[in-house]
Amino acid sequence: MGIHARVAFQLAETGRQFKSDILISNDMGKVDGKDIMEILTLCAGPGTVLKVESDGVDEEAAVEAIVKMLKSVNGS
Amino acid sequence: MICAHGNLAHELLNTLKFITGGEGSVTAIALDHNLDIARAREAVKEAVQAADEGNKVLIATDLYGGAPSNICMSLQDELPIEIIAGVNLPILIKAVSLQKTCDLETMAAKLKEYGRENIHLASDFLKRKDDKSGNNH
Repeated sequence: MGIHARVAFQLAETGRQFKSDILISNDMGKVDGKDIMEILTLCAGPGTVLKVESDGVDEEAAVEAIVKMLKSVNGS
Repeated sequence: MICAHGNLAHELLNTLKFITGGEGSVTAIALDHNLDIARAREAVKEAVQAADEGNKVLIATDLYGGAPSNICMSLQDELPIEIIAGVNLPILIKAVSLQKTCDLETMAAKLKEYGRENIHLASDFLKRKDDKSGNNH
């Protein structure tokens, strides 16, 4: 099954803190990392590899924050 | 404010709070099937007054033309409200983030589209996944 809705919400909220565009992708597609419903369409269950991309004035901080958040969910 | 038949409004609110960790300013009012119209109107008025933070209240009802919607619509000239009928969880989740950045009219228009756009057929996603992996049904 996919990512938990609560985690998807936290992920989107993390992304919305930044001005840069954020894209998250896997084999299901590439989605807006600031939108919970788009994130949920990735069906990203445990073990899924996600790619995080960002473009904008705070892109590095955005990627770092998203990756940190995902790692905290994954327990690593 | 969510307004719906039976206990639907409270259950939607409980689920919303679970997903968002309690963020946002959202309330719920249940309209019992047996409640008479005058009492239902008063209950909605009180709920709107309690929910109003000075920027009008968006009421999300379950069914256009149903009693909760009709009662809310009968109050549209008296209360600072807008009504979106056909509530779903995507609408409510999106409302939590839009509350911070949008005026009510803009939020209502965005939520109407967002609620529609986020109704999906699971088979469409499964087909997309199969196409990408080279499988065919």
